[in-house]
Amino acid sequence: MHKYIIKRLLMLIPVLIAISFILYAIMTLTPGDPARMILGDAATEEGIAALHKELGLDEPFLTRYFKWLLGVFQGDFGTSYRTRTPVFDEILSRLPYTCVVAFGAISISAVFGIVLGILSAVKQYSAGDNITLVATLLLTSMPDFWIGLILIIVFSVNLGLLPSITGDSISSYIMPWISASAGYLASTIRTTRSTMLDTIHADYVRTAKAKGAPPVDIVFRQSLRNALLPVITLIGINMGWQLGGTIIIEQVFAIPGLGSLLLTSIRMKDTSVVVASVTLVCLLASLINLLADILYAYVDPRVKAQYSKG
Amino acid sequence: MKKAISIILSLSMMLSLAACGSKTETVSNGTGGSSGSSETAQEAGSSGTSESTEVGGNVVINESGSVGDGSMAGREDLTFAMASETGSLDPGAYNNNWSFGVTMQIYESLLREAPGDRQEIEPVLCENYEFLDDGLTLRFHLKDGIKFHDGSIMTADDVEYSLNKAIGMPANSALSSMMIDAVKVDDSTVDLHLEYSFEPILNIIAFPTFGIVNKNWYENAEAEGRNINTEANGTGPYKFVSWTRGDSIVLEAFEDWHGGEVSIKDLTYKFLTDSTSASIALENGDVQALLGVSSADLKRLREIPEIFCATTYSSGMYYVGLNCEEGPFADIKVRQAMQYALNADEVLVGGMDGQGWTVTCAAPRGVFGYQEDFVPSRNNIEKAKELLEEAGYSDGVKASIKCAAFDEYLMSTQIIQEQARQAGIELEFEQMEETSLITDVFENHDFDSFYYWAGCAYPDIDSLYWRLYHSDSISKDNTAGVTELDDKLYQARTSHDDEERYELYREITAANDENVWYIPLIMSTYTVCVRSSLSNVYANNAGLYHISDWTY
Repeated sequence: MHKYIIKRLLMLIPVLIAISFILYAIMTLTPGDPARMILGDAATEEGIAALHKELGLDEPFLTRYFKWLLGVFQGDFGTSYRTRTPVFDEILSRLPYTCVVAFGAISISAVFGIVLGILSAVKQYSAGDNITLVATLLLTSMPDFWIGLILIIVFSVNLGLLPSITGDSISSYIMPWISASAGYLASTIRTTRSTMLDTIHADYVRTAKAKGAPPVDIVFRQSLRNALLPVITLIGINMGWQLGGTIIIEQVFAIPGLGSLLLTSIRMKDTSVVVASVTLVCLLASLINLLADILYAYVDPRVKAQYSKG
Repeated sequence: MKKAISIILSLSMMLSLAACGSKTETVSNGTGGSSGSSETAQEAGSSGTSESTEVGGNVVINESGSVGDGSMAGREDLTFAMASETGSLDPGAYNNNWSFGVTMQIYESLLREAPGDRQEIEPVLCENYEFLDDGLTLRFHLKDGIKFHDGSIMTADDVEYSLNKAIGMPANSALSSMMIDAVKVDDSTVDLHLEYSFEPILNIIAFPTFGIVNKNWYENAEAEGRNINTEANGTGPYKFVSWTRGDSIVLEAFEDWHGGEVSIKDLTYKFLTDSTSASIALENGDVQALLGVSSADLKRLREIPEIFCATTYSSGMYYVGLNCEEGPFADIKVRQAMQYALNADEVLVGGMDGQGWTVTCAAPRGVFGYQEDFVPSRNNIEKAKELLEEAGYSDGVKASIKCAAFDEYLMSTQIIQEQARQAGIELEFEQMEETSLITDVFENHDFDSFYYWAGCAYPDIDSLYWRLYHSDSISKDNTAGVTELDDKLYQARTSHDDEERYELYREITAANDENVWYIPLIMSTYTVCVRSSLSNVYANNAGLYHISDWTY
């Protein structure tokens, strides 16, 4: 098991280097000049040249990339062209906000998704099951930013119950969490329901029922553990999507997270910030998926045995 | 049960399709006429009204400041929402209003533009100023006892250092091209030397990027572990408290400010990039001022009594640029045909929802030298066809038009494309990222035509005309390669006779109309939206808002 984990972690290194190189190349080789973006449309040639020198933009692409990579191994992620502050500080100041939104949304979608999925499966074809299915269809169809704006209009403007923009209070995160979790809640409900239905109808569960096992035991002990494996996979993937996909929710609710930073940095061609941010998100997503894989081992002993072999 | 659900879902789908029908809008153009639909004149705020002038069909500009409704009398805090984050607290680092809008509260320049009238200049850190040596030297007599936020006193050394620093900053390179250096004469006098006498120099000195810094604080910043981009020490009415990246900058009133006590003690700049969210926050009262509203949200905000929208002319204009050296537009008759094919009124209505005005020359209304009574050669399809035939393109001509992928450009460019098509000019529409457009057009000259915006750095037509028409234009905006107007431009720039200057700019405008280097078309509004409880809020198209003047 430990060997498996170490192997996975080591594999991450070349993957992240490859990602950073591709991103650096895209940011450098696509049209647009960060110096001109900073200095504005009345910028002079001399002004642009001076800023190029100051920011190191007069060096060749590969030189800049390898200098940046060397710096990363020494803990220096470079300096933002836009703000002239260390990239690490920029990211560190934004990451907590993104994590609050992402983890909050995933928690809501996981908890409610699994519970509602179980109920739906256990009470298949009931009124509750049908209502849940229709609700999942609606949640999947509605864009998260639209949900966010509707919530703002209803709860902030009309009812005055919640703040329209994010601040220091927990209440200011309620609407972002609901908006961000909607689509993932729907997919978690559907997946849980589907996998639960498969396991509920399995032979060993029928045997347990025949032997007189209580319903709670049937659902939680016999069925759920097997049904959870695909759900864990889904939650792991969703977490990755959340970390990288909160841009729109951050724009709507004015959350100063990584998504907003990324959007601004792409527009301003702030290469170091873009590369460092995206690489960090990839790293986090990979670690979360590794965590999901480790969790399998505790949910299903057969998987643990496989890890131990390999 | 399943049948019932199916019926409900089908009905829902039908309902949603029915809701997709068209809606009528009242629109109008900005030239006093109408496009056939009814128009509503819009109020300039409600209880917070000010004197205003109706210019154009449905846009009102505000000539005096807001008069608060008293609903929040005594309130001392203000949250100002902006559509983009400040880049740096160093006053010369950035030349956009998201940055200097904040830094101008912390750092003051020697002069400032009077609220509501950009042509009137007021001394701030100097008692007075005078021109010497036929306008080649601008002498400032400094005020005594001005304090920086760290308690130190402003000296002539600080002013000399600050001006020379500003002259050398890349962000100021276009503004300071005529400045040589600043020299301390004595402990209360500093001279600014110019290469030539330049009428708008006072507006340039008043610009926030020429803010006065503390020489010792600035020079020793690195040695003392300070970052001048994220820390500040100015003479302004507000001192820096904190900066939460991506979220807000907090300032507080400077108790020893030489201008006296300010009404608003706690000032927060909040960065809200989504226009709809920001306008909702203003409506809700979560913020009290908002800069950078889309025209769709602006229309809605104007109708809310608790919101006052201070509107003025924007500082730039939208234009079509043509490649006069190669491609189909190298032929002057084809360029003239293109000009005659265009109808600026329709571009304004279709592209900007009528929120703006047409322009007669390559400058926005409201700047000195704007050619109010000039009639450009536009809007004559038959003449356009005639010219194309004379040029040998009786079967039509193909070219391309590039524009940046922003709403403000996309609709307008499509309308231009259609207008040109009616005259026989088939334009292939290429939308792209703004950075790509700038590279293609201004650096590589890889275009047939393009639609873009150019703005005035100071309220004088020289700001745009020099960039667009001078052969030594030190930014790259002279995409047409114009070389024959250098003498006129220099004469107009260095003259102090307003009539002479106006006449020279008239000649340049006429030359452009004949040669069609550029086709100026429309301009938009520039609006700051505030709660009606605020007083003394003046519209300013450079985003120069002195919050110290505002009060509830």
